[in-house]
Amino acid sequence: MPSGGAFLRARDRRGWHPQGCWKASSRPGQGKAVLPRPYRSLPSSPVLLPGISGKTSLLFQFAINRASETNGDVVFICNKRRLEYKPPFLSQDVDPAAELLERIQMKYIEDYEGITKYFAAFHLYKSFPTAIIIDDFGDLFVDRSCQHKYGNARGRDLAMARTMALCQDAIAYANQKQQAQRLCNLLLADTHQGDNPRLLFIYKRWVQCLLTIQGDISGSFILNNSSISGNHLGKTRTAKYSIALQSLLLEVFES
Amino acid sequence: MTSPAVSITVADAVWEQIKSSRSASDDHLSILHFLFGRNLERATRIVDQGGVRKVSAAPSGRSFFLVVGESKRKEEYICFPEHHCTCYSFFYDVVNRGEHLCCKHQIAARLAEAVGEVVEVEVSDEQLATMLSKL
Repeated sequence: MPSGGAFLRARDRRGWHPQGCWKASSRPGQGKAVLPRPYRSLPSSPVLLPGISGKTSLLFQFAINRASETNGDVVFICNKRRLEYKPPFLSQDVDPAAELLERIQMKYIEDYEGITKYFAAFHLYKSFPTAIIIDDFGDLFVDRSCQHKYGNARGRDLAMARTMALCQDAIAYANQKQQAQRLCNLLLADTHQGDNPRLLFIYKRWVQCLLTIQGDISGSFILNNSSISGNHLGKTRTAKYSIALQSLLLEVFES
Repeated sequence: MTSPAVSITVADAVWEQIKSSRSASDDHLSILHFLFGRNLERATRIVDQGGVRKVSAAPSGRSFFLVVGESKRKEEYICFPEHHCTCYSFFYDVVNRGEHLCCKHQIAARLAEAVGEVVEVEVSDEQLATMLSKL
């Protein structure tokens, strides 16, 4: 089974999301999203918000944690317009002016060909980041252009599989050159409707760990961390979090 | 039915043994045939015809395989032997349907490298990047 990254999926939840509050801290991890250390819960006051799952905020928290743990750089790949429209919320203990944030390199990519070029040329870098995060991975693949490129109705699926394989190869190459404590992790994130993402058959071939976000009845969000072994999901860990007062907040963490 | 993860672990062990001796014994082939079925025969034909090239970049050392298909067009597929091939069989039979552990081109690449029947090609790092960007 190829070693590789983790996949974060958010279930698209239409409607309102109440707020709670906590404080995030860092926790070591490899090949998966880093879960914040638990903090004592604070009183919550429900506030209605348009559809937000906090996915990008979680990814950014992972970037901060990883940069902090390793003293290395992190590459955050996303769509620039989308990020400007919905910037991530930081946890309250993160200083927006901190030097740490300068080690998170933002890379704005519009489509999957940009990702392909980046990982195809990965070996040209003299040093490698300790994490690469790709937000809204699925949105990089447009049906029409993929079908046109591959001359196949399943062009989008083909493109995704090839891109993931290329990511896997690039990361494996980089990790051959790195010290153990500075290994490069890959974290991909996407949003889907319903219980089972259609593209899980592609994702599980190249990732070791699947993290799922879904809204709960109180308006907070549950992050589940499941390792993938063969065709089965293994052990699960859970964190409950929310967005409150434009901050990322952890409520509960269970292992 | 053996889980894919177990099958792959067994296959990896066999590849390592073949690599260390630079030859595949009847026992090795028997195990590989059990795991891969007819794709093993197809792979051995590709290797016998010299259809496997390993493209390595200098000075980085990053590499991939180019494996010739069995059709008349003699198309070459980019192969990361452990986990991917650009042929349609890999996508449909391995990824989509899960009917095979890997395609014949992946097997051919593993076999050719293990027995030393790979044609080595060296390119620059920039050239390798260009080739991979066309994946």
